[in-house]
Amino acid sequence: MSTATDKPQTALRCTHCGDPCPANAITLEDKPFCCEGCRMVWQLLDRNGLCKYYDLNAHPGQSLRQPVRKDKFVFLDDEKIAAGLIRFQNGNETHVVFYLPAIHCSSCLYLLENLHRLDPAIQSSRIDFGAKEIAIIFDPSRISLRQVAELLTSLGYEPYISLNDLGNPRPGVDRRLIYRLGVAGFCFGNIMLLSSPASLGLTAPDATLQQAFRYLSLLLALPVFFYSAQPFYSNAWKGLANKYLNIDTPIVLAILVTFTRSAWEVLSGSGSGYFDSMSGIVFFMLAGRVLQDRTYRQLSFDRDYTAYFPVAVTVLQAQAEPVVRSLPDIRCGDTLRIHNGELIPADGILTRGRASIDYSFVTGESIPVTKTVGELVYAGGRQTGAAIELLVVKEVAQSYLTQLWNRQSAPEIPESSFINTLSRNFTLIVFIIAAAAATYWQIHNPANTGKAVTAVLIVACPCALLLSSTFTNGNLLRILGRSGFYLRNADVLGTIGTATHIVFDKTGTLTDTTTPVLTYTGVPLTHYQEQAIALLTAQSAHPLSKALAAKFGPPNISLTLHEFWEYPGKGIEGYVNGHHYTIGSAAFVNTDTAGQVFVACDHKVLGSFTNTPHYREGLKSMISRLDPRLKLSLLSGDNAREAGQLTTLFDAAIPMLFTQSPLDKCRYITFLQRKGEKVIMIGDGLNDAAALQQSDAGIAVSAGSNNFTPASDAILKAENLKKLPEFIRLCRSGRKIILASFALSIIYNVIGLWFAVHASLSPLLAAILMPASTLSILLITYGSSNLLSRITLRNDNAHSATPS
Amino acid sequence: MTTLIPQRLPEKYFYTMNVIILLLIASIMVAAGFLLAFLWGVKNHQFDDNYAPPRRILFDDPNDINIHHPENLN
Repeated sequence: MSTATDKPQTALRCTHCGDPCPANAITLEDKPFCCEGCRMVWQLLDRNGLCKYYDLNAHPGQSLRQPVRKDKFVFLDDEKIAAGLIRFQNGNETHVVFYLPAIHCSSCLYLLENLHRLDPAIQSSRIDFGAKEIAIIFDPSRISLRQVAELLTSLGYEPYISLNDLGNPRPGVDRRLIYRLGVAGFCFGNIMLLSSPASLGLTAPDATLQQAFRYLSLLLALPVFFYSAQPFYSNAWKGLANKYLNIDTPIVLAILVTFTRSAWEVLSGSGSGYFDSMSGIVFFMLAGRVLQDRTYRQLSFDRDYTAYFPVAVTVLQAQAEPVVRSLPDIRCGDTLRIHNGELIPADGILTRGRASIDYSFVTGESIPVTKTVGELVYAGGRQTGAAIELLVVKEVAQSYLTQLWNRQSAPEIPESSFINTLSRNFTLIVFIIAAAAATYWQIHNPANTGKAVTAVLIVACPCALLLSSTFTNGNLLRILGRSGFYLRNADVLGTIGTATHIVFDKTGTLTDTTTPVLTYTGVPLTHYQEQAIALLTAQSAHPLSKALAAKFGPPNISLTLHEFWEYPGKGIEGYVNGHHYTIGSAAFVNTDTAGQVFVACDHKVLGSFTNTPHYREGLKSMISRLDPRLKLSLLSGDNAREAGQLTTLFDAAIPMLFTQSPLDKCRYITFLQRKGEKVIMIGDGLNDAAALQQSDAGIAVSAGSNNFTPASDAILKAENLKKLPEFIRLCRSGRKIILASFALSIIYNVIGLWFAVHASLSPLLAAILMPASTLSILLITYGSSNLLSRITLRNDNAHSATPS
Repeated sequence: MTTLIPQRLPEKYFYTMNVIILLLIASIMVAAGFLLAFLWGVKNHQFDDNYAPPRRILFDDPNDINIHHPENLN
């Protein structure tokens, strides 16, 4: 990436975090460290014999170059806030669970589960790796909650505590479906065993034994019927209550009919029923549901603003010391002190200090925005630089951005998905066949009527349809998840597959704003000057300085920095080898030409750097591979400055709308939907939140695994944006696979129905047909979805290999 | 197929029937035991995290074995 990694002298990597070490690296026992923080962690672990941490993985640590403010966790001393985090407490132990976004490897596991060796007051700590959570038990008389959080922070695992954690405990994982699956599996297996003699036509030599087998089957079918099949009943009821026939309705009908007829056969002693088929179907359908509903625990698709905002903030008081107050208690008129790196929780007027606010989560733009005293500052940004003071003008829940976030889209109407439509038609045909069979037998042999009708309903249960859709969807979700595209649920697959219009956000979505790319205009710089700029900018933590340092650094000729000053929000200045340099804004450098970052040497302006948007890799080829039938649009909060460059990516004919406010974006989506389009919105920041919710399928692009994304239907890793056409194609192929396997199951159904209408469906035939159709459906759905995804994703690799 | 099995069974056969029923009950009991073990495992979050446990077991620590487990959580 940066030139820094290519040069041999920077092969020195920090022992702790693996970042390249600066020229003046700190060394301890021949081990290089990039900063004091990393060295301290290493020393601490070394003292306690935990250096295995470094043996398990190369450079497992988190860089500690940017120290966390000393009293950041003061709010944990507040009992009310602490009570929200503590799960259990008695006199000598306290149980607490923290979310540590930095957990990523087995070294983390090793270190964090050995916390008791670093501080004996911690009794135990245990990690839930999937959820990135640590459960700590500590002795509250010897260590406070705040100190526990500070210990974790000092190791580089800063707990993320949000308003969301307080008060309302997170809903536990719903395991009921798994329980039901387990019970159904147990009953299914045993019933199959018990009914095999009857199915194979072996007439039991002893009536007692036969009766025993039948009653045992009935007994084992009871938990399946009353417990395991419940989700189908509740879904069917929900559909009926909304006057809507979904796929569960005919399935419930089939289960009911099978159970009643089988129970009647057993109780009247006339046969052994179809309990094995019934429990088998319930088992496989539940398995499909489990596979399809498997969620990504570490991802959250429904974040509201409380997950993003901090728990507490420092409030200044007129006649007393500043206090730390939890966020919901902030009122209009309070004066807040926002420290470096803290979020601005409420809209306010800047009363002291110079705000340099990073709105990267809101707009996608990582270059801080400068505000001066008296200006209105919107919530959601992160202050970078010295502390500022803010007079709250709108409470947290009323702030412009939280309002935007909480905008509720229209209540969801049950969508007539393609599975439900198919099943409705299917059910209709089944009823017609059943009615025809009933009429025929009523005329010819009324004794057979009940038998034929129930057999038709049993055989024609659309469980094959449900099976094929759940297994296909589940497998596709898994495949997409492996490629970094996480969908909220299976319905999103269908929505993406049938979408007609894709709307892209520009900043942060198509462009990569995490690493600014700077282009220089002005008097050509000498190598010496470039190196001087690199040396100066390396001293500053401002994103633009870092970008400049990466562009020219690291210094490879010996230069000496005599003096250095940084003026937050303005620029930096210093003396390098006797020359005076100023780098910063136009006003700071004393010029009035256009540009972003100006450089002056000995008070003579040399030129300026402009941050040019850096488009993500492979975009052009991605856009060209999209299905030409899909319409595209582009929305941007920026001005039309880059329209020219965008036309090299997109067809110039597509609508490109610039200077769009968050509400404008949402309105544009509504406008498209009114025209009958099905819209996919691809965005990233909070300014897209409303549009993402309004769209049929909102895809949030996330640059890092720990990044927070606004509420959306899907989360896409930024580096996989180039695979979007393939993802869409896979979503579409899902429907074809379902149809194909359904067609196959129709063949089985026709065979079964033929016997059913003749009133001669033997238990043996049912016992063969059911597993045969189930197994072939599973094979087809699994095999074809895996095969298709392999073909699609291989194509994609070939495409991305060709230079765009 | 019915012809393969004699219609009248010797008296001895009758006791075999009872044994089959006994065996059946025993086998279902064993299977039910496994079912309960499975449900208990799911309830106790044993299938929640498939990354940590296989690695945790490799971190041997001779002088300190962590015997506390935060089972009371959740």
